[in-house]
Amino acid sequence: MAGGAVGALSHCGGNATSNNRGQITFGSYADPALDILKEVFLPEFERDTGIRTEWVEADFSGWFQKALNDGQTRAGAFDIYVMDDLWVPRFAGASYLANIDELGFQADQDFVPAALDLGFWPPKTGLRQPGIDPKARSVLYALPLISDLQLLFYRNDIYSQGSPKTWGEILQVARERSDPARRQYGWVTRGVKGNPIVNSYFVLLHAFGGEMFGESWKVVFNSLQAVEALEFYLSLLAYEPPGVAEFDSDQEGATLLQGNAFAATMWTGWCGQTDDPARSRVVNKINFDVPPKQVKQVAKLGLFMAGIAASAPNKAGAQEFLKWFSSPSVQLRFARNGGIPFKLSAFQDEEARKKSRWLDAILKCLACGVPSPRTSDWSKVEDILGTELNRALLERGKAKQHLDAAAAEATAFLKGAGYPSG
Amino acid sequence: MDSSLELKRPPEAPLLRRHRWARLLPVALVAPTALFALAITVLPLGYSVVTSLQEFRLGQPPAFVGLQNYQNLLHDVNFKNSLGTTLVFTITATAAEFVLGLMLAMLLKDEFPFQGIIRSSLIVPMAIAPVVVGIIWRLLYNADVGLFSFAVQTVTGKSISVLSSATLALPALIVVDIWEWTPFMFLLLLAGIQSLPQEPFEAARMDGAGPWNIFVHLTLPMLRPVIVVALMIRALDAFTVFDQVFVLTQGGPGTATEVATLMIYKTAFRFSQFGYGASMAITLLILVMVFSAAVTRAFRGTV
Amino acid sequence: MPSFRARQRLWLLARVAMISLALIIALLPVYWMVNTSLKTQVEVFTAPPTLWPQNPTLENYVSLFVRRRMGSYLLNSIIIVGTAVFLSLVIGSLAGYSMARFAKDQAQQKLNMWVLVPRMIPPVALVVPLFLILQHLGLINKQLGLILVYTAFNLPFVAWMMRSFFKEIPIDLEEATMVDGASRLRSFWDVVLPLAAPGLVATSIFSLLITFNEFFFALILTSTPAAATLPVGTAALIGKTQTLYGEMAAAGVVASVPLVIFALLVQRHLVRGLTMGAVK
Repeated sequence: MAGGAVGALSHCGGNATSNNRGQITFGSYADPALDILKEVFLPEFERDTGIRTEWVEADFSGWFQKALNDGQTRAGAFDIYVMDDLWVPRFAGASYLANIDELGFQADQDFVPAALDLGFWPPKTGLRQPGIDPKARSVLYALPLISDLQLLFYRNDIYSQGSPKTWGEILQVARERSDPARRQYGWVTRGVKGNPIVNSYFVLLHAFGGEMFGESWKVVFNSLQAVEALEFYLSLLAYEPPGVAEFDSDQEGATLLQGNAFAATMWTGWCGQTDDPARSRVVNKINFDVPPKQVKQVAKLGLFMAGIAASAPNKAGAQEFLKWFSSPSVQLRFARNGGIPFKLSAFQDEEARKKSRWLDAILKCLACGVPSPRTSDWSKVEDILGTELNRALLERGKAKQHLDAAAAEATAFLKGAGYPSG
Repeated sequence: MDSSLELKRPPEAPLLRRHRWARLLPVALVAPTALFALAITVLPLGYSVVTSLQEFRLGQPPAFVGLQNYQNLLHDVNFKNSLGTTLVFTITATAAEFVLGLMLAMLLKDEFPFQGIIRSSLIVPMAIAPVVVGIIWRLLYNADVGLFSFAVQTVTGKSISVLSSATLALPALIVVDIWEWTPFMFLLLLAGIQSLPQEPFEAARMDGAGPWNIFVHLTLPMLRPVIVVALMIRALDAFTVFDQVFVLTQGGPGTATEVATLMIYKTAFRFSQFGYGASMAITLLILVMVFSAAVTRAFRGTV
Repeated sequence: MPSFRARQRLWLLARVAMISLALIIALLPVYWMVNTSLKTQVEVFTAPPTLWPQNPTLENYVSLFVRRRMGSYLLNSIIIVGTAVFLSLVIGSLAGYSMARFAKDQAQQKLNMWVLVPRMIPPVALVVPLFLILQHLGLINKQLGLILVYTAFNLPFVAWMMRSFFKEIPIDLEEATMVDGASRLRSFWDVVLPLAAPGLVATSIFSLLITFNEFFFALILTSTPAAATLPVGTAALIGKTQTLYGEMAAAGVVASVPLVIFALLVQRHLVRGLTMGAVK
């Protein structure tokens, strides 16, 4: 990949002012939230810096596999990995990512703290998984790319007094105004076993005061609060579409955008679509806010992070991209173009907020957002919990039993993997 | 076939010549295939076997643990269940596809107007990418906007959610598989029937044998080589079914459709338990090999 | 008593009915795929489902080729799969012939058995080591790499399929022509191959279909539109938080067109080959 040879064939934008400086290859999964970055800002980056970009996309699981493979075999096919924040423990812990600190990057105060924190490994706060030195310094391995998270989408014509402040309010409105015969549902959620249903349940769990892990990684998602949260989740089922057990994000979003649901907690990728007539029947009828409160008020974080591959052929170029994309001016323009930024100044810009009326809600969510537990073994625990939650959903009951079963299996697994699980 | 040429070789056993190098001919014809295929598979398989004897922890080099993974497998209820699910899926799907495919082949073996278009249309399901098949059927099965649920609703007034029912999910998947792969059986059996020599059938008809008799005592036995291959290949593919399950149910509801390949995939790639996942894959392979050996032995001599 | 004529007519009617039913079942989901590919996202999830889009649009197809590089993927698929299948047909048929005619001793039979092993291995067990091997050979993300892998995986399949078709051809036919003085190659070319033509056509259709839609290895062994195939490009439409159903349906249509055209072209060879006339 000699920079010169590539340069001769370069066709970036037509007015590259500087001599060609090589190229950087991005690897990513597909998501509408990335469209603006791909289509508007990458070409701009090419024009500004003369570095060519290549964007390689695969489906979510497929990209995860490829990225792992690339990291494990040090193949060097990619310069930047676009990752789900959940992947950071796996990639950083196995040394597939380059140390951004060492490369000379300086993170400033303008970064939304919650977003930036997710790129550190070991995690700055909270439990550290066994095998990681509890005293090791946190190093920056990834920067935020898109501030994706779950926030509340609600119909402003149904909730005419403003966003529902408590979960009780959601239940009450659902009870009063649902009409299944006319496909009007008070709530919609994801029911597919595994990651989808766990993410849906996550917000309720924390809102009711529960948690996934307690002291020393003790499994506590079968605590009293957790059971209460699940029972509430199940009580909403009466006002949801009948096939919810097979719903993933697609159908959840589709139900809301078809005008068939009053509210839901969904990912930010859907924000821009609510006002697009080619995708939505509820244009201008959806407002956004932080999910309602019970004991606490939380949102679930699921940010897209960008890390430089340890085997990247063009680390300098990759770093230049990160610097460029996180510069205040670019972030500002990104927000004004409908993208979701990760810097405070961009969030607070008036013009951006006028165009994207969800920015305010997202900023508030970032302040009270909780990410998935920071351990590379979370996927397995999530799978165990997700299967039992799905079973509880199918039976529409037996919350405590299923949570206990999940907790038992998860504890056994964690013990086997070396966790102290008291 | 110029019979005016003088005889060049003895009339008896002309297929196996007497020359020394001629004995090598059979091997020479098969060797490239066998070697090439094995190189691409046996070498990597060795690597997999080695992986299955290791344990992978984050940030540490893989540790050799001998047969520990296999021992854990013996107690892994989830994996054993997935093997059972896979077996049910394979046997049901293959059997149904065989019966339906045979019926179609018998219906379409004779001259028929538009037979070209009809035959080509019948194999289209096989031509569509499995991922897309999954997505489209996901839409069709959808409780709210799916065509099937809509039809059921018009008739019975209740909407039905096939993919979220623990009892209906696996049959639903089997239906998708049947839809997609019956054309395979159909095509194979049709080609097999078309390749049969005509004389025995004419003779039987002249002797006054009825169509059912001809079918059972003449067609089926003569088709046996093709039938065995069809069943084997289809069953082997059904054992390793993945795409549709992944797209349609992700193994749910509960674990109703959790097939072995899905478990292996999740274990190795989602949970990064490469060693454990490899041991699952090797175990599945061994079971499949035992199955094929059993089938081949059952048909030995008649194939 | 129903006359012979009446029974024949009844049987014809039954045949037509069953074939029509089969056609409807086979083509309904295909129709749905085409239907969906012409819909906007909002209409895909409209209840009740519409049999024809209210606002048909070609936008999904345009998006595929302009934004998602489907043109490159399609070209790669055609080149890679076409080459691999051709190679495996030639090499595999010869192996199949040998297996059909010469499998007399134990060693030979064992060899035949081993030919099928590659098909039994779950792809997950092979993906990482294959990647390493190809990386070593510098064949990652190159068309040749995938061609080699696909050829290797098709060979057992082709060999076994052709073996069964060759076995159906009575050995007397070949012996007869060879008694008349033709070489084995001649007899193979003039006698065996025409009779096995339906089998060859069927095998080629399967090989093409299955290889064209292969996903796993294409995903790991290629990365960019320089060598990636259609299934990889299609799967990329499954996003993290949503799937683009319209575009996916369009991709399904685009991907199946070459295969259907091929099937239409060769299916007439599925008809019985030339009979040899009076042999004995």
